[in-house]
Amino acid sequence: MVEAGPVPSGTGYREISARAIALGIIQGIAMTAAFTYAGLKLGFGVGGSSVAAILGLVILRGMLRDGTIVENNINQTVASGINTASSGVVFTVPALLLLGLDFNPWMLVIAAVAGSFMGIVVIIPLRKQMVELDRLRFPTGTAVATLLKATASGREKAILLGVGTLLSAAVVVGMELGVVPEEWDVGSLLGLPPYLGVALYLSLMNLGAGLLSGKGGMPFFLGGVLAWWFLAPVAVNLAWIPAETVAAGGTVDFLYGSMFRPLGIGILIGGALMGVVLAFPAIKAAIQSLASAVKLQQADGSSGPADELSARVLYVGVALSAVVLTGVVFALDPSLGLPRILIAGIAGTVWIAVAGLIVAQATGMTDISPLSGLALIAVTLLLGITGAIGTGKGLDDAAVSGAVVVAVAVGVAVCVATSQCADMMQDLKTGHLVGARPAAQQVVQFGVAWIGPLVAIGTMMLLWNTPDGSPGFGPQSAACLQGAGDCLSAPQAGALEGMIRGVVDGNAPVDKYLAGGILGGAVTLFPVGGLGVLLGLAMYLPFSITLGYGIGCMMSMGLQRAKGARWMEDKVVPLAAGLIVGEALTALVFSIAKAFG
Amino acid sequence: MNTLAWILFVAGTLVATATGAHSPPMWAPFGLGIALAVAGAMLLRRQSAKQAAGGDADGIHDLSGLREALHEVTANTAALEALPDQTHDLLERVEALQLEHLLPMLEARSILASSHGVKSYARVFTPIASGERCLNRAWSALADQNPAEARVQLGRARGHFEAAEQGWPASST
Repeated sequence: MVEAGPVPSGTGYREISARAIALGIIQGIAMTAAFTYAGLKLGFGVGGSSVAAILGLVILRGMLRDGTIVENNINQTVASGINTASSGVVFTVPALLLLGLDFNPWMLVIAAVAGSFMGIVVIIPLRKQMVELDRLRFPTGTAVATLLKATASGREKAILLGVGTLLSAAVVVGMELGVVPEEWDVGSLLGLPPYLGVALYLSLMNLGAGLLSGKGGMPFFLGGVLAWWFLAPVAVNLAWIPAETVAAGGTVDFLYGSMFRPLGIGILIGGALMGVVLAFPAIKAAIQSLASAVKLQQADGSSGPADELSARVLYVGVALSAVVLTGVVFALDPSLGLPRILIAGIAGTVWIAVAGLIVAQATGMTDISPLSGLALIAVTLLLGITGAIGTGKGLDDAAVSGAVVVAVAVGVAVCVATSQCADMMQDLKTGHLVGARPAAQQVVQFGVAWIGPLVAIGTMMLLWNTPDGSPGFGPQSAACLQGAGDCLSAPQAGALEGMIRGVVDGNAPVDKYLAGGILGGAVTLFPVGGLGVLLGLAMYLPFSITLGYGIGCMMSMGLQRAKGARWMEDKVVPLAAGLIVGEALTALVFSIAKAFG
Repeated sequence: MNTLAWILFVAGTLVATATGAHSPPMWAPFGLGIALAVAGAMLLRRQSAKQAAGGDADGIHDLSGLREALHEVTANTAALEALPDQTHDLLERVEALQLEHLLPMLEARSILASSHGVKSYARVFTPIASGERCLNRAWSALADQNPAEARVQLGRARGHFEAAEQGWPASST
């Protein structure tokens, strides 16, 4: 197969530059610290690509006057690649602090850095598969590309981008001021029972992602329908929900927490694995094309930069990750014994690859990445391998607490890796649309991948403990106990802490994961790519998100049919990109303002 | 046959979803549901492959149309490459090539995947995607006032499209 050879040099077209990397690193570090704080306080992460792209436009193109589109792409790749570690860290690391366990934070930093590198390695073949062959939309990646190209795309597209940005920003401001509700409870207006979940999350970013995804995103909406409009009435009418739960008004929470989410996680995993089996010939061809690109360059004898990283980077990266993770497991709890330590390190690495595949598909098709669910599975898997499930001993037992620290450390690696995967795939989609060299983006990402975990874990430890070692702003601090504004409750990690306590007591819904896995594999045989992943993701998320996204998909399909593909590219893509960028920017401003009081 | 396949797939999925979500899962009906869903999905895959030669995209209806579209993209890229650097509307011409020729061909890509499988699809569409990225880089370079880079990228894009034509499965020619 013929693949891109070397880029002839001498045209002076600037891509990787010291100033773009420096700007990206400065923005990335600032955003990582701010988003770690905001994530601990508010419980969600914010993407930094669009912010970095706008600052790049202002500084590289506006102030310095000679910045190129692909150079600004490097800036946003670096910034978001560093910042992405904040989500992975705040979802997992504080769980150990909440559980009151002793651990060596440097081991967590090493695990997180290994995960960060592994996240980049895994997407080397996935980029070929999902960006080039499956042509997944990656809504945020498409939006950032529209932003990067905005200054040269013509007046009409720039106006549409601006209109979308302002509209979306106005809705977020309205929500913050209490003028616009976050959710519109359509179901209660229509007199429908709450278990049907008919509420609309009024996010224009969500609608924009649906508009960009079109027909390809419809199975995601159908997954929500399957859960909330089929399974919920069946479960309620056949009295599958415990009477005391119904009497206590916990029907919706039971449906979502005990049925949809565990089944959805299983479907996600089964769907992703079957997807690999079905797409194996194409993945193999994609990896071969990486090898042929390098051979072409060698045959040419050119010293110019290649477009693709060698497949060898993939193999070496995976092997190194397995070695580092195994080393971390050994350093944290040598009493596990060599067989369990080896299995834990290898299983962690394999799970990072599977989770990376899942998250890449999910973000490609919907813009949503189920990071916490994938970390949860990693922790459950590792607790099983380390023998900590259902022992009848509590966390006070040294063997159990040691196993929990190991499981969370691998969970940190998985969460940072999947977060990195999601971000890198979006960045590579952006790169494809502006004509960047994938190898250039991947090389700079390798160069800065260690920074994010270090800044995020450092920030978290500083926030948790005051310099004299007394409790700082954590949930057990005086600030949180008194409900003061500077309390950091770490809600995502709190959920992980509760899950770990349940799993250690033997309460993991393994049977539902298994059933979901089989179902996910079966539905993925349907001749529409990624059906299992989309159905699983929809069951894992609240229906209010799925519904708004589905409306965007249906609007897109109607417009495509009426107006054609070119009209969609000219009109809908910039408008939808504006909707995504506007909400990201405004939410970021409000998050930082709230977090810092 | 198509209706039966849909019924099997939908019914199987519904049964397996409901019985799999039950606490604990009801494994016997769950297994039946999975069997129905798999049977329906396999039948639908066969139907899909048979219908692929008919195509489903606006403008490009079959394999020969898809191949013709690829040939046009190659020829148009070569024509752009031959234009002098000073051509004032080169950026608009590149954009027109992307939206009027390349995009419809990409929209119709499933015709090849369904009829010849993912391996043949990858053999043709991997170089097409590389060519598309070169065209995108040519656009960016022109927007950044660098026609020399644009010319280089147009040449590379043409090379990729030619490679895609060479990789076209022999049985469909």
